[in-house]
Amino acid sequence: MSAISVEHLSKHYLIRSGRRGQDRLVHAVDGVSFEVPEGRTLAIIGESGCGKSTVARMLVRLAEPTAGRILVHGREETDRRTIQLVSQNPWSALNRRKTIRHALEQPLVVHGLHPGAAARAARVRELLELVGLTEDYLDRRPGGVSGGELQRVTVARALAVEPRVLVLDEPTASLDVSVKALLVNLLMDLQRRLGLSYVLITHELEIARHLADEVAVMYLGRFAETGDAEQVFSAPGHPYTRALLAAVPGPGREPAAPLQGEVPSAVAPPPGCRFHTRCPLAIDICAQTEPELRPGPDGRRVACLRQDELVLSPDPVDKETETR
Amino acid sequence: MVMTRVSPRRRVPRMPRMSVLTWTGVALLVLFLLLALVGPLFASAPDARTGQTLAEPGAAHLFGTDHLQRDLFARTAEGARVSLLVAVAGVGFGLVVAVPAGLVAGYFGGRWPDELIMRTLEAVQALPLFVFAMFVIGITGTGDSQLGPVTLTATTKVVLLLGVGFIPYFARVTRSATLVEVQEDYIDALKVIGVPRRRIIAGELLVNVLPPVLVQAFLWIGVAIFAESALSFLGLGIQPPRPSLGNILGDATSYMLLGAWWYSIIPGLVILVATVGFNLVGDGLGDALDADGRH
Repeated sequence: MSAISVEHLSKHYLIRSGRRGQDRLVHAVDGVSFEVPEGRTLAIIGESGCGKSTVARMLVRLAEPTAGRILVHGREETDRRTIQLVSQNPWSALNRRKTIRHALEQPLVVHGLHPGAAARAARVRELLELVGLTEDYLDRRPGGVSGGELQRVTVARALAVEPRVLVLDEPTASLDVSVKALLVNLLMDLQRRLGLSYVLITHELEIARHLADEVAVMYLGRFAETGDAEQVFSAPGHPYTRALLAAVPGPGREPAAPLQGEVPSAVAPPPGCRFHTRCPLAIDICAQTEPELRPGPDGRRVACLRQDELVLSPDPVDKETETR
Repeated sequence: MVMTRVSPRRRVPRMPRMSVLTWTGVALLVLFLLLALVGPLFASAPDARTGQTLAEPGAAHLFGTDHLQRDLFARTAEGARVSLLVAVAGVGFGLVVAVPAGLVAGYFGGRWPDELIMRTLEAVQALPLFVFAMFVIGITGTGDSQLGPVTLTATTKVVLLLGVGFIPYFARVTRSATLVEVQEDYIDALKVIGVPRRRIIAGELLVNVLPPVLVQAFLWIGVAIFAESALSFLGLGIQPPRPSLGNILGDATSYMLLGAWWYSIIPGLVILVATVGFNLVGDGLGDALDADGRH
């Protein structure tokens, strides 16, 4: 059974504009569905502003969905502890005037876990050990600890309440390159040892490639493509995924020309396919008909009206840049 | 995984570089505190008669004597002590009400608890302190009054009046510091963990919001001394025979034309020294806090 299944999740924000102006509706997330199997990792990738962080906030109940359901092990979960969050900026995610001991003890105190000072201290030591830190850190405050170590502390804090799912919202985005790999290894190690499921929200494709079993590519509040990570990264289906992957320089490969234009406003998403305004392959019908995620022969799902033609021309985006 | 043992880096507290103005403030403040806190220990009783009416300052009576033959050093020192205590108590009372109100308002920034609290405080603020004071003293009189089982002396009334007058300002400072602080990710992190709202506000937000608020409050002690003096000067504040800087000055005005310059100049100077001292030091503290916040 899936650790998490999400059904038609939407989040619309109302922006009030002045006294006379019309209220505007921001479609931050528009009917996304996905499942994360027990002990696996789903990566949601996309540009900033595509709605992936809003999905994260809804998963950990910092935002109320406008529509749709989030099921944990098939049931609507009432216990917050099951899904925990690791956020982007560890300096901000810890209270700068409180010790690391306080940060780790608080979840235990609040939920009455491991009652008694001795039991609690033992559990705090265990949590630190779990993330590879020593007891020296207990009485320090965030000010004197490096970002990579602080991010380990936030992971330990999230694990304190014994969650089944971790939502990792850009966990490595604010860390030095040398430290990113350490954290990724730690996360993989923890997943193996504790059987955790991860929802990884990131724009760093390298991180997603390392951690993810499955990938969902998000554009303007919707999924453009979902599927097995290996498949999506090696042979992207949707034109947006191709552009996204091609923009990353690789060994012996220059990054492709970036997509033309800006991401359209989520207040008035384009009709039809939301990507058609920037899509190199768009035809007239793309501006009228909204594509659904359709399963392809290899099990991956792509939301593109020209999906069948896409298979025939394997890498149109790259070809275009080569001819320039 | 091999972890090298890292010894915690101790942060050496750096002495903030203080401006000339701050140093001036410190000097003035020390002067005032010496007078208010140490002075009364060395002076005679503030009501004792010396046998000399309106004597000029000299070796026997450092600040001279007043029209009732009382030693003005003793009265000014005791008055400074009373004014300081009333000011500190007033600011303290203001903080006790304003900090929780500002924290709650800031935490709910923009939603109805915020609106309710801030609109109420604006209503309080709309009433000028002195008009309000005259209204209250006019009804309850300058003597003791009973409020249920509690006896309110004139001094207590001044403390309460000052406190109520300051609440809107302190609450606004607290609220704006809170509005910034709730943007930090740790607030969300605590919500996700399931930490109750009261615990987040009182246990986590408070420690980060308090420093700038306390600096502001320190600055306002000077304002409070000034306001207390003004109220007592008008006869609405501390009642004789208990001296305060304001009521000494109030008595002195009648004797200025008789040439008793020391009678009004000296308590006036003390008010000036206290007000400027608290303001300059408060500004300096604020600068130091800003510099610290920027790392």
